Amino acid sequence: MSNQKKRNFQIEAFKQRVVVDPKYADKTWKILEHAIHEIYNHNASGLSFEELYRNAYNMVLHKYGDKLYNGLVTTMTFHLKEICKSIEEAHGGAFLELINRKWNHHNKALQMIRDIVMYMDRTYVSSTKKTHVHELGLHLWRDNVVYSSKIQTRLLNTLLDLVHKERTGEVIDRLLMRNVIKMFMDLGESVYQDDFEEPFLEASAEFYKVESQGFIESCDCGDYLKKAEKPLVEEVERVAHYLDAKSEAKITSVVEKEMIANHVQRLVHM
Amino acid sequence: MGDTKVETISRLAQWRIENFGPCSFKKSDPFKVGIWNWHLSIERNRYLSVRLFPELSRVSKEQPPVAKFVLRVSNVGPNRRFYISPVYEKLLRTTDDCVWHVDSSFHGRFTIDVEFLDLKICPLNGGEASPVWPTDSTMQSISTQTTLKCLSRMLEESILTDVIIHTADGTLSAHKAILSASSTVFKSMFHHDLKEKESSTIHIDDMSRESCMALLSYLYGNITQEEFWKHRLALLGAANKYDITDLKAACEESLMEDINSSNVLERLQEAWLYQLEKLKKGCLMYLFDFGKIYDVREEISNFFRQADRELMLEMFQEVLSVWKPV
Repeated sequence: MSNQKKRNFQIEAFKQRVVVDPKYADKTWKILEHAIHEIYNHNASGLSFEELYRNAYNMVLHKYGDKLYNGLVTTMTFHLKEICKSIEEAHGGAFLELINRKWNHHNKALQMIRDIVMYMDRTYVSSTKKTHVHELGLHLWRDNVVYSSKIQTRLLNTLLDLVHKERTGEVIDRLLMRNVIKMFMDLGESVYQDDFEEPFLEASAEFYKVESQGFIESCDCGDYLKKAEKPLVEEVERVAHYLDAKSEAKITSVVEKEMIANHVQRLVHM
Repeated sequence: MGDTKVETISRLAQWRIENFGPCSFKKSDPFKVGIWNWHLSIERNRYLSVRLFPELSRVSKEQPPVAKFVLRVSNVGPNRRFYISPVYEKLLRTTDDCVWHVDSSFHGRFTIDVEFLDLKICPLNGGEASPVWPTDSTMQSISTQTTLKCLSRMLEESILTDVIIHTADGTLSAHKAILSASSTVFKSMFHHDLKEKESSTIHIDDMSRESCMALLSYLYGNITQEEFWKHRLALLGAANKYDITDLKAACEESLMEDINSSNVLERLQEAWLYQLEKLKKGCLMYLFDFGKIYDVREEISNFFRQADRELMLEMFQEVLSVWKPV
């Protein structure tokens, strides 16, 4: 019994010495930083989870949570800026494709990193009321990629353009649309609403205003109503295919307003 | 005579009366159903009265039965008639607790059946009656025991193990599924496409083989008190690292139990490191409220040289709260 105690105490003393090493935190962080690079560079299969977890765990245990958290923010931001650059350079159709691919990869990397620093998430992050790692990763993606000055407008225009193309009869890659719009939803309801849904509704209103004007000049009331019904069906289908279900009521009310309500007087007197 | 014997099968007891002639009372031999010996008796007055009661004994006195049962009287022969009692559910102690009057006179040969639907023990000092026959919960406890046996065999005989653990001083083998079910850390370890998933090996450099075996024994449900006691500091570290909350709580509880002046500073350090509020409070009380700090004067100066500032602050606040100058 007393032997055991002595032995335990020695282990403790040994631990203590490791921490006293002034370079301990830097050395450990370097290992983790390297691992994050490898994860973002698709080169993670040689990394040991246990070793990385243990290093992150020991950093937090010995009160280096700050250093770990800040390091994580810096390193992830660095990679997201790199990703951002590569997306900016993409031409034409490759643009959306690349955003989707990089987003998927970021998500996978984020899950891995979150699990490696799980102990920090559970103790340090909770007690200091910081943003949890998963949410942090989403915020960093949003601010560095989606809101990047060279991407934000281009991304929105690309999406609205594809919707327009589909409305005028072209076939588009709906799965890709769905994945990218799902990204907006994953980034939070406000991101989806402010940065996609609202401009989408405005563009739709504009589109149907022009469309209805054309119809009303060329047909009688019965024909017009028949024509007005078609976009309603199409928009409900669009929501089912690649938008958030909550958008259905909003888009159908836009169509009804532009196609019917704005022309009631004229339709009645036809 | 020879017709006082009651045959039983499963939950049914049957008393064949060969001849119930001129005599007006007959009592059966005892028969066992559940944990009690029972008697049936018949008596002829205006009716035929059938009674069911437990044999007077220590069991029936200390654990009296609450029985749910049906009685049936039927004659034997070509024109079979029978009478069935209502379903009784009552506490049976004496011969008068259950009397069933059959409004018919049976003569000669006839049969009395008792079918027990349920048997419970009535607690003497109130509370729920407890069933004597297997119910869901007893089934569950049998199942739990079997599972525990299987689990410990899986570990001890290394049945179909699929992961090798390299500790600081030796190897052990275990199951990814068990580790993953016990700890989210292990679950993540085998989930991601990192080294452990591919190689099915883990390098736990910060544990000895013996301590790691104690951890596995805990996870596989066959740790002994002695093993736990011997390795509890290492187990505490592992429980904290791998987020096994029950084990962490058990270790804290155990470390609370034997604080003394030779280990109090070490315990305080552990409590601080692993955020064990109860243990920390216990150590601080031991040192300051109970004045044991004077017993560790030598060690404390060394401790202060290494201790974390925040911990020192807490210790200082504890001193202030105890030290109330008049």
